[in-house]
Amino acid sequence: MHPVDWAVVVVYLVWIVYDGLRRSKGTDKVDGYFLANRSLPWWAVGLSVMATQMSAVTLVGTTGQAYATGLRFIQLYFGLPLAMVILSLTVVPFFTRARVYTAYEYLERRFDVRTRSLASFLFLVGRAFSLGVTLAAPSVVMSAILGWTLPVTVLVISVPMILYTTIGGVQAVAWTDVKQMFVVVGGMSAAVAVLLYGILHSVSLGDALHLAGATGRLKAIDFRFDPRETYTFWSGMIGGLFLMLSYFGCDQSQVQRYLTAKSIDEARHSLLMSAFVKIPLQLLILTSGVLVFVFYLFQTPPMLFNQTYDAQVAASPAAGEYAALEKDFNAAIDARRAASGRGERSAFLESDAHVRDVRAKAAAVVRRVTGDQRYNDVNYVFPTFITTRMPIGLVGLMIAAIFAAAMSASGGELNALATATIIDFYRRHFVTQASEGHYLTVSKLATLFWGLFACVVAMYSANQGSLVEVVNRYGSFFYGSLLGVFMLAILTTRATARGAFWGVISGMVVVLTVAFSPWTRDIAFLWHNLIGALVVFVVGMAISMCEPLPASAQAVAGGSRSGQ
Amino acid sequence: MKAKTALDDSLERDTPMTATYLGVLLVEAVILGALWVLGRLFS
Repeated sequence: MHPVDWAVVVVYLVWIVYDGLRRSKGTDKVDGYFLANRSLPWWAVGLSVMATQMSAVTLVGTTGQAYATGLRFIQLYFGLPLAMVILSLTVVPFFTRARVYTAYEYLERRFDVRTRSLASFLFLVGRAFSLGVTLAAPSVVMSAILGWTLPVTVLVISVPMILYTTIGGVQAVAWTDVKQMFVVVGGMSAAVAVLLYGILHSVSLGDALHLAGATGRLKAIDFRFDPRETYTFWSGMIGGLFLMLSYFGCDQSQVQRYLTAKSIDEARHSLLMSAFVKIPLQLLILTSGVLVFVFYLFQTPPMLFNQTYDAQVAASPAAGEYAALEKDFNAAIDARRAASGRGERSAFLESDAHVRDVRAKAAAVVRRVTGDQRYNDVNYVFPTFITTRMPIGLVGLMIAAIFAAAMSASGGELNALATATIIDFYRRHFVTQASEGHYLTVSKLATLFWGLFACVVAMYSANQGSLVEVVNRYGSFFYGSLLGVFMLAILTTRATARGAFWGVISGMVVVLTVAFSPWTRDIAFLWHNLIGALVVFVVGMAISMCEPLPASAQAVAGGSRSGQ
Repeated sequence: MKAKTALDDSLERDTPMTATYLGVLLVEAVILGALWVLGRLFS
């Protein structure tokens, strides 16, 4: 990378830490540290909500996925706008009026401490490991691209983030999120501009769209109803709706964002901002991936974008085979370029299939030589384009954008982990009466602890592909159950504490069974959220109907409903 | 009983947003329609 690009990255890192620390004013009490004294404007909260959801994996992974398969990933977000409307009508007024720090605090008021602790514990376990993965995934890619060691990359991303989150609390997280969103959107817009500039040198926009469309990359909507397919219109609309309801309604890393808003109205506006903007923003990111594909129709791409094992393959007995594939690849690329330029559809599709075939063979050679059966290069497509094709200065901006996405997603998660630890466990079970100063100090220590824990998980999980997969799947094991228990809490006055607790346990057991049973394990993970929520609700209600409703629960439920 | 403060009042500001909700759903419908047309036009 050029020194100017390094300078851009360094300036970005220094600026974001300085700004985060500057925002720590007013965080001398727990309310300020965890909820920014409920003082943030809707647009800042809205940007923070989106920044927390958008990790670096969104930038490097989604663009790579669009390069390989096109826009179909967008269907995952089809349920989001409706979810935001439902949440604005239901949990936002509940949580705001209840004056809670965590979503799970509400469960104790409605049910009992056991249900609250179980829900908070599920959140802590799942989120702590996923925070590690949030840091690990971009670190693995960026260490390969930038030539850094993995620990250095993890520390470059996490140390500034841990610093401003620990000292400045939620206020620092929210305001740095705002800036990071501008860096990310600015960077992605610059990438699209560079791609269009490069493409329009070779072909018109209409022809570029026809080339992308011919390979199916512009087919965003798939109306087939097949529960085994991860991304279809129906899995996005139904499974995605329940996923988004769970994530934005029951996951503390998101709930805490809108609890910092000035009022119920402002909290609603912050969620509705995502409802309007999230799909277009995701389309911008996916479009970048499709444009990278079109760009490389007229420029020669590397045979494999992930070149981590190049030296190992070159020194192995398979080096000759690999070199022959490379020669074949270059010939296929030339043929595809010629067909693209002439607009010959069948010749273009034929040569594109040949390119894919050679790439698959090359990846198979790498897997055979290295023994890394999970080897693929999807996540390396966009970073490779950035570092080899973008102009000086913009490379630095894009690297900063990837770091920004990693930091903004993990800062919110880290802050939420500390909040749940202190509010739901430390202050509730261990030290119930202490000064504000004491709670503030242990809150900062909890933030620091989870930050260091995430760094260790990141360094460990980077070399454990299976762990990454387990953590990702774990989210879908408990998300639906969490949503189910909140449905019991909010939608009905008849649910009892015992019903809620055993409902959650049943929901998780059923989802785990569905996920691992040989008959049902092909069901795409998005449907797990729906299954979990429904099981919790049905089992919870069934148990509740078998016992009388306690008077205290009746009063709380009645009070909550009257506030609707 | 604790008296209601100005902060409590401002926190509870809760106005109906039916038009905004309909706007959200309308925008999504337009985006989905546009994506469907895009897929049909360039396939």
